[in-house]
Amino acid sequence: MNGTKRTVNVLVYDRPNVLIKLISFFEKRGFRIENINLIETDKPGISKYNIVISGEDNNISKSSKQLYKVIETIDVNIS
Amino acid sequence: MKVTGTSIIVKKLLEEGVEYIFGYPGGSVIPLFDELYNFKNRIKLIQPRHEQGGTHAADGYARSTGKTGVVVVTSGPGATNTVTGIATAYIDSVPLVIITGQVPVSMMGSDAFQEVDTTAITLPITKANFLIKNIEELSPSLDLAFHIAKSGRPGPVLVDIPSDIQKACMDENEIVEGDIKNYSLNHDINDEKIDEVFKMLSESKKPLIVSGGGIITSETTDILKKFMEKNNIPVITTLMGKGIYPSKDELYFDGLGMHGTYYGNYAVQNSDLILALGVRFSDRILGDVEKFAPFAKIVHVDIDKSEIEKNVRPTIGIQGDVKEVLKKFLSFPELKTDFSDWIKELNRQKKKFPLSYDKGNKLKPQYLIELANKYFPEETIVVSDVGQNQMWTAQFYKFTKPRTFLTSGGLGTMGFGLPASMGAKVGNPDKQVLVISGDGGFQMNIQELMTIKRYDLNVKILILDNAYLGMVKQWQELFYNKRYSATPFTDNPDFRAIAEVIGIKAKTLKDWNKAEEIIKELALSEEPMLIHALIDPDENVFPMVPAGASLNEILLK
Repeated sequence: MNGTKRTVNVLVYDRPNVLIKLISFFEKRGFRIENINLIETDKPGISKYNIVISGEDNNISKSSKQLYKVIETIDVNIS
Repeated sequence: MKVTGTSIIVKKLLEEGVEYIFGYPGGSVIPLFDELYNFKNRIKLIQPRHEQGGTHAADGYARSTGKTGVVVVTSGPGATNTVTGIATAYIDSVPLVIITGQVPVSMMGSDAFQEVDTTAITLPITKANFLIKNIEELSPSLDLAFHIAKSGRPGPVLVDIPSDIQKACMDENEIVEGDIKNYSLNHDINDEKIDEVFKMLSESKKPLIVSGGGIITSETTDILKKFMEKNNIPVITTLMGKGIYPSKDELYFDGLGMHGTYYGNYAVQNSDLILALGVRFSDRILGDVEKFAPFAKIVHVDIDKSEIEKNVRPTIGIQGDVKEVLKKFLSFPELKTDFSDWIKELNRQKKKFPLSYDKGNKLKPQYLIELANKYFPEETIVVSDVGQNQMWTAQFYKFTKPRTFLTSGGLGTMGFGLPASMGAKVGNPDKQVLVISGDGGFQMNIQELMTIKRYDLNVKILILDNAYLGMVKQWQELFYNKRYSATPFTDNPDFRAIAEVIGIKAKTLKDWNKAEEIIKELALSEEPMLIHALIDPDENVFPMVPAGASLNEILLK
């Protein structure tokens, strides 16, 4: 899929399957994942994923709010 | 002191106050069932005839009591049989804890007998799930499971426990608690937003409350009622919100959406301010999103942040417990505006296009539901299946109390009704429980008649048999040139005979002039009873807003 590229930064509690949940979140909504980075934060048990996705810009910002459906999500930022 | 995995599990169940489990044994949960055997007087086992039935039963228990339903099944097919039940509970926000057995840790990944990747399968239909790979994780994971299932927006949580972990031992002193603070609830209720809502309400001439299942979950019906009556604001409910508000009250205008009422949809389409409380704006209530509530500002309150702005863009979105929000609303200053003209307008619409059906001299499902409503006591818990029977029940049964209407709203799971009614009865032994099912859905979990018999669950069963998968047939009739592909069920068996073979009292109902007597008998029966009603196969559910159409494009017949 062509379209805008955006980076979604997601702060999460480390738990098994968090990465799968995030990937399937975007796949299910038809976004293409271009890149994923996992960054450890200075707080133990909390990580940050930087996920570069492409798709329709409107849909990206709308859908990203629903990332809170993944209960490990602490914070979401789109840049 | 050393403790085993299974004793940790059972101790946790007791701590959580679990009185019933809905369980079915199998190879990977033999140790757990062995331990439960020691506690069979404190934790009672309700054993369904199929794990799907057990999961819906736990769901019916949870919906009707507000407590968490607990399911225990084995690995492999035991676990996969619960999937439909878990998905049903997930989308309707029902708290369940499902404990599944798993093959021993050392055999995982070897395609062992009755091995499936249960946590992978259930990932998208649980709030959280846990695979326990060492016994130290067991107790804290169960803490979290019970906490997550019930907190915030409730939902199912699955804990997958390999059989060797069940048998393993650990030192009791080394048990740690689950860190539940990571799952505490955020909210963004603030004075600024509340003030803004007050401002909007004081400027509004046609406000409307659209309330949903969230009001029931948060047990907020009393506060809602006070708020409405103080300010004289009309209310409509979603399917999941039936029972929030006494149906007979003059501020109540039934439902909205695809099979809502004419006047309920009129209210939405003409309102200038919608207070949407504990609703998720499902496509079944929205119709065409672009044309939904064209004149209204929308205030959307939901505990789940991901629901705000998902399907509609509200003027104000508030994430938080609807109870806390309504408490704030309740302390609004006296409004200077008066909404009586708006209420009169809605009542005129209600008079003009009431819910109705052509009585004729055929056996009409709506008539049977009205009769049931007449003869069953007010506290009766009514459980529907899915399809036309569900919509007729929602339209014609006048609910007055929360947790008295259980229905698979989001997933639309045929086969939900009968087993869910068992759980409702287990949780509410002093209340009547009535299942209203179609012939199709009834046959999807018909085996649970045996469970009703075994535990002597006094459930009343009304089967509306139109010899079709009626709702699909209705779509075929209206939109597919009456090509009834795969919907005729003209070979239905005699349900009366089946019930009687199992030992359940049953009657067949064919004539409309016998209906009153037989429904009365159903209501008064002191043992489980089934009525097989052969209803008019041509009856459809109206009003109807075709899928994707605007709520203004409502078909009245």
